[in-house]
Formats: sequence, structure tokens, C-alpha cells
Amino acid sequence: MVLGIVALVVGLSVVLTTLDTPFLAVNDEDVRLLRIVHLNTFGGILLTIVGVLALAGGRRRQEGSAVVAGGMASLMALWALVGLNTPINYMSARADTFTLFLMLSVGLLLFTLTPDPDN
Amino acid sequence: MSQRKNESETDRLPSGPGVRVGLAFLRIVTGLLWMSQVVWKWPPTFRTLSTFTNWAVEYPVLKPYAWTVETIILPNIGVFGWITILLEACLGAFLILGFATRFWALVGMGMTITISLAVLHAPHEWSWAYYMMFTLHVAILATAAGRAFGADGVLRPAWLRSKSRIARFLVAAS
Repeated sequence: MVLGIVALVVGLSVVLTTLDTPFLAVNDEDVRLLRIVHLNTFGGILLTIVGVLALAGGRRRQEGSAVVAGGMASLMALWALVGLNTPINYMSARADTFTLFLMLSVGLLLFTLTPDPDN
Repeated sequence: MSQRKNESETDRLPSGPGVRVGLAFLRIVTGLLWMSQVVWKWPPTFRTLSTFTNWAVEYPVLKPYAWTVETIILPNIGVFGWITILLEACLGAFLILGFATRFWALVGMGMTITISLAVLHAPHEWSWAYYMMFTLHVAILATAAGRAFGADGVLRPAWLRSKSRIARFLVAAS
């Protein structure tokens, strides 16, 4: 249950942090950025769906969604950290966004590495 | 014997659900404090951070610290700026998550001392804000607040069972 909810939270966080980025490019530099941001948004929406499906499934399906969510959160943390060093000032490239995804990725990693108490 | 029992009950600190919620609230709000402060430290120039750090030289609290800031930190603000961002981001992330909370409370105390030494004598700064910030971390350290609704509380049993070095460190840090 918890892992499915976390996957859902990561998916929604990814989508939310990409919302302030313009949908269309203003200049050439933006084109490259937008490709990544649109990919993030797509990944976030997909992950939200995976999280919802995992909620209805068993532990194995939830663990699978948690691994995907952890990977996505790590990528977003890395993207925010790289973006920090550029003139980009969108929400997906900020230090607090890095903090959020660092928290989610480490949290997911810790919980997926902890053995299932039922086994 | 009965008097002794009564004494121990009088001394015992409360640990009910209300206390646990309060400790989790304290820890999460402190994490959010760090998370909100990481936003305005923009790399690669760290201009705003430089201004505040420079106060350690303009309005010195401790002479050796002012010298260190002037000769080592300010000329290398690019490096120290990134260290600050990473430390504050980790403080925010791990205090909210409640992971290795006691260790991060110690780091928070260290960071608060560093910040205080730079800004305590600057005009319009309210020194009690920094004393309170330090006190927040003392409370988190003393109460092991990560065990209340935090990752420490969930994972500690597994760390206690393990004999690895990392697990032993995490038991001490939680």
C-alpha cells in the first residue's frame, strides 16, 4: 500500500515540477531543455498511472512500481542538480526540487532494500 | 520499593501518540526550514551567499573565523557554495524523511554555528533566531525525533539485527 502511494506521489511531483516550463520553445537553447522537460512530464504521468495500478495489486507489483519511482526520482534529482548550474530558472531545475527528489529517491531505496518482515 | 517506583514514574518522560506527533512535526518543520533556505543560493556565482558570508569580515563575531572567511572561503566561494547547497539539501531531505536523524541534527548544529558566526553582529539581524535554530537541532538530537513517524523508526529493528559497520553507524545516528 505504502509503496504504491509513494510511486503515485513521485509521479505527481514530477508532473508538478515541470508545469511552469513553457510548452513551446522560445529560442534554440529552450528546444534542448524542452525535450528533457517533456520527457520528464511524460515519465511522471506514466509513473502516476503505474502508482494507481500498483495500489490495486500485490506487494510484488508495488515493489516494481517503487523501483521505477526510485529511478525516476533519482533522475529528477540529477536533472535538478545539473540544471542548477545553468541560467534555467524553472521549477524542475531548483535546489528545493533537488532536495525533494533526493528525499524521495533515498526513501524509496531504503524501503525497497529493507527485507519484507513477513518473510 | 513503592516510593522508588513512584519516583521513576514521576521522572519518566511522556511518550504517547501526542508526543510522537509533536516530535515528527518539530523534525519536519526543521527540514522544511533548510529546504526553503537552499533556494536562494544560486550557482555558479553565489552572489547572495557571498554577501551574507562577507558579513563575517565586515561585522566579525570571532576574529579567526573572519580571517578564515576572508582568506579561504570568499576566494573559493564556488566550492564552498556547492558544499553549502549539498549540505543544506541533505539536511532538508533527511530531516523530513527522518533518516539518520541524530547525525543530521549534529550537522544542523554545526551549520547553525557557521551561519551565526557570519551574521550575528550584522545590523538588523535578530540573534535569537539563530539561538532558536540551534535549540531546534538540540531537541531533535536529544529526543531521536526520527523514530517518530520517520525512516529511523521503521528501519532501526533491521539495523539492530545487522552486524555490518554501516548498520552500526546508522543505529548510533538514529
